[in-house]
Amino acid sequence: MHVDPYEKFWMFAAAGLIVLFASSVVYGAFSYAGHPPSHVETIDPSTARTDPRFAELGVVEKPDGSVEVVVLAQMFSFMPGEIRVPAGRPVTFRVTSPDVIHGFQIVASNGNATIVPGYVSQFTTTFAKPGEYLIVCNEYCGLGHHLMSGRLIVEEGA
Amino acid sequence: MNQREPTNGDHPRGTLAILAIYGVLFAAAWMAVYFLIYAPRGGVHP
Amino acid sequence: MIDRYDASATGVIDIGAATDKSPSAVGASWTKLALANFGVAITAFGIAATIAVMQAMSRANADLPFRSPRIFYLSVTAHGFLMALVFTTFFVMGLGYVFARVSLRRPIEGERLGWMGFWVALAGTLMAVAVILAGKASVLYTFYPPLEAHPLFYIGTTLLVVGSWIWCFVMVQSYRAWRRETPSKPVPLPMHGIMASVIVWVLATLGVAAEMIFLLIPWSLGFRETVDPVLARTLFWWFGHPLVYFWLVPAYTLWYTVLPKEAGGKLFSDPLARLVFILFVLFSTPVGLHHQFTDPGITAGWKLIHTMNTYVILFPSFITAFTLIASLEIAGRARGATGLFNWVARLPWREPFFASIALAMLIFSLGGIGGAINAAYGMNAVIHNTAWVQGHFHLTAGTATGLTFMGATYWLLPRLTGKPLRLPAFAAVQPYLWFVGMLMFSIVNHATGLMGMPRRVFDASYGGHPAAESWLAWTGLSAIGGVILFASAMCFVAVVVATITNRRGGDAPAFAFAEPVGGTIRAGTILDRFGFWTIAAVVMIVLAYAYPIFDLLRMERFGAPGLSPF
Repeated sequence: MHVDPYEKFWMFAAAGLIVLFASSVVYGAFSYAGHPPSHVETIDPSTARTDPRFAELGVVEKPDGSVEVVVLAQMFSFMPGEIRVPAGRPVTFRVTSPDVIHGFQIVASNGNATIVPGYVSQFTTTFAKPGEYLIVCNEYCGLGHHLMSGRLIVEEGA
Repeated sequence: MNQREPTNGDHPRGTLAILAIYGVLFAAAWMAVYFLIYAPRGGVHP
Repeated sequence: MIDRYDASATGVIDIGAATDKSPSAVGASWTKLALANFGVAITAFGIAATIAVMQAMSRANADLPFRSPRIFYLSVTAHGFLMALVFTTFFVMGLGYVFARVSLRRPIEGERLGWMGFWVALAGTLMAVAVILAGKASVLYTFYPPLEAHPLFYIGTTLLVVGSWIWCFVMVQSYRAWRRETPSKPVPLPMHGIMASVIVWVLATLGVAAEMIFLLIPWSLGFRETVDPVLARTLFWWFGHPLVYFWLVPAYTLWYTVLPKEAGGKLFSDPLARLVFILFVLFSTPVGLHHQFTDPGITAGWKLIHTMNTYVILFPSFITAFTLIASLEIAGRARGATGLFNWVARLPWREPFFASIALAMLIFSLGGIGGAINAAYGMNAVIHNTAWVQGHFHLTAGTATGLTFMGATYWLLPRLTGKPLRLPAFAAVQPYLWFVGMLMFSIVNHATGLMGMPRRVFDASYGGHPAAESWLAWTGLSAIGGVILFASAMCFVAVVVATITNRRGGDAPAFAFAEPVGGTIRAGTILDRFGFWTIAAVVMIVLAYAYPIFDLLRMERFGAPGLSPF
C-alpha cells in the first residue's frame, strides 16, 4: 500500500500520542495507585442491612491508624448521611446497596464508585485537604435520585 | 492512474500543519486534566 | 471500457437499469424501502429533539409547566432511546440500502426481507416507545437492572434489534451476490463501510441479545426472581460501546466516499480508508469495560486491558482525520489556494451537505480528546457519571453522527425523490446553528462535569451546597445551547417536510462517489476480505471478555429482584 510520506509521518506521530497516553495510565496506576475502584466481594442484597459486614454503619478507626467507613446506599439516601474522617490518613470506604444501583461520588475528590446490589464496593484514598465534601449519587436510581446526597467532613489533625 | 495526488506534486502540508496543532492541543488537554485535576486529588487503591 | 468502480471521468455512477424498471432511484422499489427507514429515523429525531429542549431547560431549573421528576426521568429515557437506538438504527439501515444499491449497481438481494426487517423493527420500536411514554419504563436507554421496566420495553427493544439483523442479512446477501458476479474488483468503498458496520453490529448485538434473552425478558415476565446487575451491565456494555461505532462507521463512510466529491476534491487514500474500517471491526467490541471502570465485581487488571484496546481504537480515527483533511486540501487547492491554510476558506461552506460534514468533523475532533480522557482508567473517576459525559457524547453521537446524518439527508433526498431541496436558506444555516448550540451546550457540560455535577439528575441543587451553587451558575448557558440546538433541529425537520411535500419533481441529481487518488486495492487481497477479519474480531472479543465473564459466573453471586421506583 502506498502511503503519502506526510500521512505516514502523521501516523507515527499519532501512534506516539497513543503510546504517551497508554504509558501515562500504566505509570500512574503502578506508581501512585491510579486505579478505579475494582473490589470483588459479593453479598446477598436481601440481607445486606443485617449482614455483619454492614451491621455497624459509619466510621471505624482501625488499630493500624487507618480509617474504615461503612456506608449503605439506598433509595434515596446514604447511611450515614454525614461522615467524619481525618485528613492525611488512608480512608477505606465499603459501600453496598440493598435495592438498585447507585453511585457514590465524593465531589472534588477521586472517589467515584458504582454501588451494585449483590456486591461490596471498596476503595481506599487519602484526603489531603480538610473541608466539607458533597457526596452525590450519580447513577439514576429512581424518582428521588437527585435528592440522594451526603456530606463527607474531613477534619484537621487527630 | 496517476500515483501522485494532483496538488502539483505537493504533499498536503496544510493538513499536516493543522494536525500538528491538533496533536499538541490533544496532548495538552489530556495532560492538563491528568496533572492539574486527577493527580493532585490523590491515589485510589482498588 | 469504463472501470465499474472508478465509474467515469466525472465519477458519476450510472446505477443502470439492471432489473429495475426505473432508470433512476426515483420511484424505484428499493428507494421506497430506504425512504421508509429514513422516515422513521427523522420522525424519531424530531420527537427526541423536542423532548431534549425541555430537558435542557428543566436541568437549568426553568419553571416549565408539567415539570416534575417523573416527567423528567421519563423524558431522559425517551430521548436516549429515540436518539441512540431508533434514529440511528433506522438511518443506518436506510443508508445501507442506498449504498448497497448504488455502489454495487445491482438490485438489493432480498428487498422483501428488507421490508420484513423494517416492520419488525418498527413494531418493536412502537412497543417500547408506548410503554416509555406511559411511564412504565423510566429506566433510561441503558436499562440497568434491578430497575425494572414493563416487559414490552425489553421485548420491543429486542424486536428492534431483530429487525436490524434482518437488514444485516440482506446487506450480506447483496454483497455476496455482487461478489459472485464481480470477482475481479475490490468491493466498492461505500459497501466496504456498510459491511464493516454490519459486522460490528452483529458482534455487538450478541451481548445485548444475551442480556435480553437470558436475563431481562424472563425476569420481567416473572420466570426468574433475580438478575445479577454486574453481569447485565457487562453484557450491555459489550454492546454499548460498539453501538457507537455502528453509528460512526456509516458516518465515516459518508465522509470518505461522498464528502470529497461534494467538496470538489478527491479521496486522498482509498486503501487507508479500508484499513480504517477493518480496524473498527477488530477493536469496536473488546473495549466495553471502559464503561464499567468504577464497577465492583470486575478486577482492575481486566479494566486495564480494555483501556489499552480503547487507546488503539483512537488510531483509525487519527488516520481518518489526515485522509479527509488532505482530501479537502485537494479540493481547496483545486480552487486556486496556494497558502498553508487559505484553502480552507475556498471550500464550499455555503453548501448544506459540505458544511454539515465539515462542522461535524471539527466537533468530533473535540469529542476525541474528551474520549481519550474518559478512557484513562483511573482518571475516569474524575468524570464518571458527571455532566462531562453528556457534554462528551453530544459531540460524538450527537454531532459526528447526528449532524452528519442531517447533512446526508440533504444529499439523499433530492437523489432519492427527484425533488429539489426546499427552504435552502434554512438548510444552509442549520449546520451552523447546530455548531454554535453544540459548542455552548457541550463546553458548559464538560466544565460543570469537572466541577462534579452529576448527570441524569432532575435538579442539581443538593440543598444549596456550595459545590452545587458553583455548577448551577452554568446550567442556564447549557440550556441556551439546547434551545439553539432545538432551533437547528427544527430547521432540519422543516427542510425535510417542505422538500418531500413539494410536488414539483425535476431531474434527480445523480449519485456520485469520490474518486480516489492513487486508485484502489486489488480484489481478494487482505483488505478486501471480511470472513478473515470477522474471525479475528471474534478472537479479540473472546480474549477480552471470556475470562471476566467466566470469573463472574463462577463467583458466588446473589441476584437482585426488580424494582420500579418511577
